[in-house]
Amino acid sequence: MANGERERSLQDADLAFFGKVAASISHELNNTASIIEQAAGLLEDLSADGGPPLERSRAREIAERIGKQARREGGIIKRLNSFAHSVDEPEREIELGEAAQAVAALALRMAQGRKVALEARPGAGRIVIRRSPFGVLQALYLSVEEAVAASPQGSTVTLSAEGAGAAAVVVEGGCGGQGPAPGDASFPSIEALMGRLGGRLSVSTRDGRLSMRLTFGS
Amino acid sequence: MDPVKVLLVDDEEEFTKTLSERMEARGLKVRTASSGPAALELLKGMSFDAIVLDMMMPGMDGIETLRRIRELDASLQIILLTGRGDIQKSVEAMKLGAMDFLEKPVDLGKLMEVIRAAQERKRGLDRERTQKSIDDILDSKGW
Repeated sequence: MANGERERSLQDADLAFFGKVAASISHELNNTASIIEQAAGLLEDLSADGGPPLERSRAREIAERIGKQARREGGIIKRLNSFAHSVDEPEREIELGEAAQAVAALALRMAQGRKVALEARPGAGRIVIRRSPFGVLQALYLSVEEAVAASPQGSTVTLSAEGAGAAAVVVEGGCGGQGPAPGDASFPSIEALMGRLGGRLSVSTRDGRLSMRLTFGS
Repeated sequence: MDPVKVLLVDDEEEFTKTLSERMEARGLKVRTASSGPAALELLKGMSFDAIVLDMMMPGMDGIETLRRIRELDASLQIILLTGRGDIQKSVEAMKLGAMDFLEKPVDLGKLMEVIRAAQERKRGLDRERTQKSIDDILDSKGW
């Protein structure tokens, strides 16, 4: 592939990833907005002219429902905001345990759709690298997506930050899902991304489970 | 007249809880299910005039649930609730036999209209089915 063509293909992949995350977050926001709208509608129904007086405990209970969803929405917006700012700088310091946690939150809905749980494990101490925040999130997210596809329903995919030797995140998933069997797996787009980040991806199987090590170096 | 019987299927339990309260206040009889398999289980023992089904659910999604419900009973009237921009999936759902689809956040007045239309269609199909059974019996007995 010519350099210009490769660059365009990487830009397309970046945009596709941005779109995927934005669509997922907008679905989550739509769900909370739907609940808030129905709860507000219920309050309106119950306080309509000519109806029985609205009990205070009932009004409080509905207000709590609205408050709960508003808080949930606040969390989603915080995630969206942090993701949107990942493109602000070409490089900055990133703590890998925090990056793993951010990706676990971003990918939660995708994993829930396949009934797979996600668990982010911080490293021992802070593991800091200097890279493109957007690139790191993208490489981790795509790896989680592959691990989730390889995992059966009811299993857990883990993201573990590791600082011993070279800084890395290890993404591990089960086997028996819809993705390729761990032994046959190859991930050229993640390899290309890791190459762009000055790191590398190594894939192995441990006890039949898919293990993807994303090494970023120091 | 019997109340309109509705099955509301969505994994967001706060949503089904609140919406079902509002629908019941309007005279409907509502049951809820938080997943496709739970809805299919309920359908084994109960009949509904309309099924309001969320498109995006974990595990068995709305499209797969729709397919299985139609296999169970093609006369069941299914209204899909979709997110914004799910046009492709909505078209797929209509091809699979969904009666209609509405975007979330859903307007209750509009949903009530569609549910009433679903009830009429379902009861029409039930009448046709009953009539056909009677005709078949009459034909087979030669009366």
